[in-house]
Amino acid sequence: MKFWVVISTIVGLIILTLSRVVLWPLVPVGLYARYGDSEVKKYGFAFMVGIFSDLVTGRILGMTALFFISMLLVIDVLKLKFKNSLKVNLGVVLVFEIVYLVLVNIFRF
Amino acid sequence: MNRINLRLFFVFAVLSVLVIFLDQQGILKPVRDGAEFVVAPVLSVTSSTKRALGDTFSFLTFWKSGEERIKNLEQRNLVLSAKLVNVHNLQQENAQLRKQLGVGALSKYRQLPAEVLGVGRYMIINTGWADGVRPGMTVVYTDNYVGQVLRSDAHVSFVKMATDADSQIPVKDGADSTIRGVVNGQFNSALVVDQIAQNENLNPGDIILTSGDEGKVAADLSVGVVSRIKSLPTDVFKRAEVRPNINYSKLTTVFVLLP
Repeated sequence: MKFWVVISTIVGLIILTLSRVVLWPLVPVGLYARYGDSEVKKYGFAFMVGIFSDLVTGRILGMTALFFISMLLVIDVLKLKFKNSLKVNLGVVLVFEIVYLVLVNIFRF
Repeated sequence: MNRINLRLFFVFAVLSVLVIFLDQQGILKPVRDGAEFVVAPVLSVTSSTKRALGDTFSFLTFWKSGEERIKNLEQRNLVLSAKLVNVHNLQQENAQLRKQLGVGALSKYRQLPAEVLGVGRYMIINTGWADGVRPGMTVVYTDNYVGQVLRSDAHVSFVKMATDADSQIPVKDGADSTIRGVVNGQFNSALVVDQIAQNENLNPGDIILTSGDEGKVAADLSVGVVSRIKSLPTDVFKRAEVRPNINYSKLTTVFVLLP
């Protein structure tokens, strides 16, 4: 699992800086949320990726981190039983990405 | 739900809110400046790569957009040729007046060149307060208005472009400076001139310039060309679409006007 997180983080970083899109971090965060090996590491990872994303894009620091950890909480609260399939997990992440994009455009942070 | 998860969530939620508060108060500025010092060179390299890739693969979309662009350019060429005769006379008159009054177009500003590191909602440039850039300064490309500095960190600044939804620029008609209005950005891609009296003679093809009213933006910078009148004669104000002169995402270098 960590291999996917590393690869998607690197690819996402390239996409972020090439296209200025901030949606990419949700991929490694979402996958780590599903397959990660420690709750502290999951939330810590989501927090740090969110902070980094805001630093690079110039958004208000902390906003994306707050969204990412909220996403993890939603996954835990709903006890989402994903199939052990990468496609399903990425599909759920895509839903969160759309929600994030809508929030960013409405609240303009 | 797992108690550890809820506790962890609240710990990181409080931490996130604290970071938001500290950033809003400007306390985290040194962190931003330090991070941007590292990130800016990476952004510079990837922006260059992105532009190179875009140029390499531009032929894939040319067949669709190229013909339309050629048609638009031919039409525009005809209109501009007719205006050229008048412009030449006006230039001579303008030069004489400027000489008499001792006034230059942008001569009262120093122009600081800045590399464009990326264009998203805001344009990111590689100059900041360490170079003398301050929020509110005007950013141009030749004599074209690009935007206003929204925020400047030590080595990087963020520019709110003319097409930003929060952008409002006082403007005037290039042919008749008594026609005044406001250009609003639309969805980061288009411009609309508004608040022009219905009886004013605004037409497609008119050049829109910054007016310099309210002292927000330097005057006489080209914003775009009126492409279509949007309003009806019964509307309170006349509104028109303005086509920007430049494609902001293609810019590699801009200039910040320093006093």
